[in-house]
Amino acid sequence: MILYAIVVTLLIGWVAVEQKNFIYASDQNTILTSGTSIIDMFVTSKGVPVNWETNTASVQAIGLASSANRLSSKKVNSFLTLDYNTSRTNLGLNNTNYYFTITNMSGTLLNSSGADSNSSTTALVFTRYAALGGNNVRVTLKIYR
Amino acid sequence: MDRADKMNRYKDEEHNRGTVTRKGFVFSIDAMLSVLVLAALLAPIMYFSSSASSTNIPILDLERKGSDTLILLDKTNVIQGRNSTAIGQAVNLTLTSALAWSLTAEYYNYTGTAFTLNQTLTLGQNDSNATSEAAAYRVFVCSSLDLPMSFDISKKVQITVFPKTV
Repeated sequence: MILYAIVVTLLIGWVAVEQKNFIYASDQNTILTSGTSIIDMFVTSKGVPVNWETNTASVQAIGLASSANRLSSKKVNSFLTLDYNTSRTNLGLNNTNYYFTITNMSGTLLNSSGADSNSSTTALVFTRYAALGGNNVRVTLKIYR
Repeated sequence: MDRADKMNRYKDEEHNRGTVTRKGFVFSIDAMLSVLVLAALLAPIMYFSSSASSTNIPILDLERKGSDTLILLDKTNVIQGRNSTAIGQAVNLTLTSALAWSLTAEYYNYTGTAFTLNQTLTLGQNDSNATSEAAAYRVFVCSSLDLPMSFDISKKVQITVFPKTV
């Protein structure tokens, strides 16, 4: 009977650990898919509507590019001034947070929006390269829970 | 209760105790077997569930970084300069320090009927030890402004991006 109890306890423990790992991996994959799509839209798409920066209330999808890998200063500035919760909802990040930065190739911070955190349970960072105002820049999006 | 009744009652209790013990033993073995069968069923489910969660997105990310780099090399006219040093510096400046790369650029001239290879540049690092890598490939065709349908030069550029090995 004691052996039976030990086996059942081990089995329950094993299932619990596997379940936790699976949920963590699934959570990470969700963030991975979202982050890859969002940053791709940032650097390659104009957004919807294409002139959303003239009326930020009309934005349906945020894109920061004027052409592929060339960022529009107006779109970037409009995105930076968007309310955090509004932009987060628009990006489909309802249960996660984001921190967006644009740095030059030397790593100097040029622009940022969102909130950074060092105490997240899951965090992934996505980086793409683009041109902004004649200079090459790194566009980085950190998504965390 | 006389002595005979007491003996009979004692025998009944002994008999019942023995029966209960044997039943309990059979029950324990049965339960153990069911737990083992359950474990055997759960093991492949857990294994395949965890396998299914793996993704190719990190490779896609490398490909996108390589593709971004080629676009920027073109937009900044670095690739047109045919200068290995300048191209190498630009790529190193663009890609994060955790990534290594190798690049091949082929420059073609258009002779009126066909493209002929004029120059090939190969630079970067050997990727033979890379555990994972992704290649981005772009063809740039430049048409003359005077003769819109004729191509005076074109380039085929491939960059392979891979994590640096320690």
